[in-house]
Amino acid sequence: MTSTDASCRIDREAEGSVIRLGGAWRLSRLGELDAALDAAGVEPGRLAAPVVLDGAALAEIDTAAALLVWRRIAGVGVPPAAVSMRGFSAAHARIAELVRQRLSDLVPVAAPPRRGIVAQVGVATIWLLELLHGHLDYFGRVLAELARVAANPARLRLKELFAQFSQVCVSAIPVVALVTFLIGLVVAYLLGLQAEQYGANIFVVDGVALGLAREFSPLIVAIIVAGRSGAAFTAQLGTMKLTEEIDAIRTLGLSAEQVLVVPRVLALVLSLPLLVFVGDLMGMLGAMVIADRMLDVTPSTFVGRLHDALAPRHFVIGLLKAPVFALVIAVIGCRMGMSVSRDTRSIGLNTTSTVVQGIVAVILLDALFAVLLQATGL
Amino acid sequence: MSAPVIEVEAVRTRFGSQLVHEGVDLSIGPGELVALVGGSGSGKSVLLREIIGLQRPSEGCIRLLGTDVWTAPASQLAALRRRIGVMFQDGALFSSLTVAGNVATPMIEHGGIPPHLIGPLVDLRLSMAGLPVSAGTKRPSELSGGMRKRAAIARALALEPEVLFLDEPTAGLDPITARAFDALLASLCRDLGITVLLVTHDLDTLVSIARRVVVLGSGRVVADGTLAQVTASDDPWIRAYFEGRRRMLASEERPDGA
Repeated sequence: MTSTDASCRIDREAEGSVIRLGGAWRLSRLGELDAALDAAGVEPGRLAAPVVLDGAALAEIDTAAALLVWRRIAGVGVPPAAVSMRGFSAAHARIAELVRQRLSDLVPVAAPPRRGIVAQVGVATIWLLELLHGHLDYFGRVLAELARVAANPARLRLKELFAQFSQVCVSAIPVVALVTFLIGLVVAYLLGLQAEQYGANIFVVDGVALGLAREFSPLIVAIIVAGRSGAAFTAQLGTMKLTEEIDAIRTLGLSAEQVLVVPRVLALVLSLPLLVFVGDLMGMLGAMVIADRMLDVTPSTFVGRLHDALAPRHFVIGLLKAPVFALVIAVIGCRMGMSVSRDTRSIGLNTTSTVVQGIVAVILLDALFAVLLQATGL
Repeated sequence: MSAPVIEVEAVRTRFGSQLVHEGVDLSIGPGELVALVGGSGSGKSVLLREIIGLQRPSEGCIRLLGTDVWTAPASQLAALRRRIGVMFQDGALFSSLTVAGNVATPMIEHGGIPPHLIGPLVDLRLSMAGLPVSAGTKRPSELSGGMRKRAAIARALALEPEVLFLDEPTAGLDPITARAFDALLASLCRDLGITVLLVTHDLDTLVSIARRVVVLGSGRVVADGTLAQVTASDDPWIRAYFEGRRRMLASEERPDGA
């Protein structure tokens, strides 16, 4: 075996230029090899045809190094096909030849043109419109399936409905209770700081009760559920799509919407009002604790004032918003799950997208409710 | 020069109370193309995972290119991993990257390659794996099963491995694509001198390219040799496995006379 240092030398001989390679030409030293070719003077105009590549002193060569050599030779204007090889061992010649034959395949592919800002805005707009159109379309299909189930209740998958209800509602109670309790606490504390200055402690009850029952509780519970259950729907259905379970359901002559989507939608529509009710109670409890400790409003005074100050309609409006939010969250979650493509990456992308869309949709709807109810004088 | 590339000595593997390997011995020399076969659950894939250092055997010793896979320090193991290439059953391409990105990942991560050479080298790997260079811009999800496997081979070849491990390279491919894949493996082994160990169920692969067949059964190597030697074994599983093939060969030999 010859020296393991890579070397390269160009000799002018009677018949033309001879490029002599020596030592170990390996991928791990491509940088050095590149420099060696520079040092030897593989530059335009330095090689006289015919060019000979001499590998007699080579200890090793791999495909990466061979590629480097052929590219340099081609780069100085000598077609590799016109280069004759001599002195190579059989194994080295095979490698060099294999790479040389593939050179013609390596035509660079033109990168797709970059879009300008106007085109990007346009693409994003079309994407958004298509997304909304798709949601609307899917919403219609879910409604049709719900109507079919309503016409023939025996089709309802009760077992799946209960399983989903347990996941979506029962196991969400602790987190909903904790968050709304803390929100009630904080809102009462902040209102209390202001009200105390005017000696209007008791009016904290009015503010907290109205705010919680009508806005905070439905909104915050819906946001928690969008993050929790909406994402779960997308991930569950997306995984089933990827493992072809959904296709299997369809080939059994069943409707995937009826088997999987309807129970999820119904479970969420039933759950959210109940969770909002839990949120109302826990929020009031949080406010009651602050009122008692900080504002000298005893729990019994608090409840008495609550009775007078909170008109039932506020409470009912809060509860009635919940199923609407639930329907939108469930449809977005299920549709994003069903539209997962063939790769694992899209499960993650769609799940993230579900959470974002769910939260934005809930807040937009809440704003719409506020305007509509204002206009109708409720 | 002819020190074995892969040495497996007295490997035992236990999952709970289930014994998968009860003493597997195997030695593979440089430039060999070896097929590992065996029934489902015979521990072929487990053995492959043990050799490449993904799963620890309960007992025994595995040396890869002279390094003990399970006692070597992390730095030595990292160096060893650069010298081997692995193709997983379904390709295991990174779905967040394009095909070219997949092939470039080992080159970028292990450094030492001038950035301006990475692009052409990626294209060479794709071409060696039998893919058009234009496939590099595609995402793994846009590829057919056969192309995915080729892309996985291209990634496994990225750093000029000395040993290539393949888990069921032809599973799920149509026979024509599968044979083209076999030819690709044979040429890698012949032209580049790469040692190849493949786990397979495909009889045609055994017939067309495997110069050595190792059969795992009931926790040990039950046959090891050329296809002819292995077929001659009287192990019941081997007999059943090759029975259909023998009958097919026999019917082909019989002239139809029509």
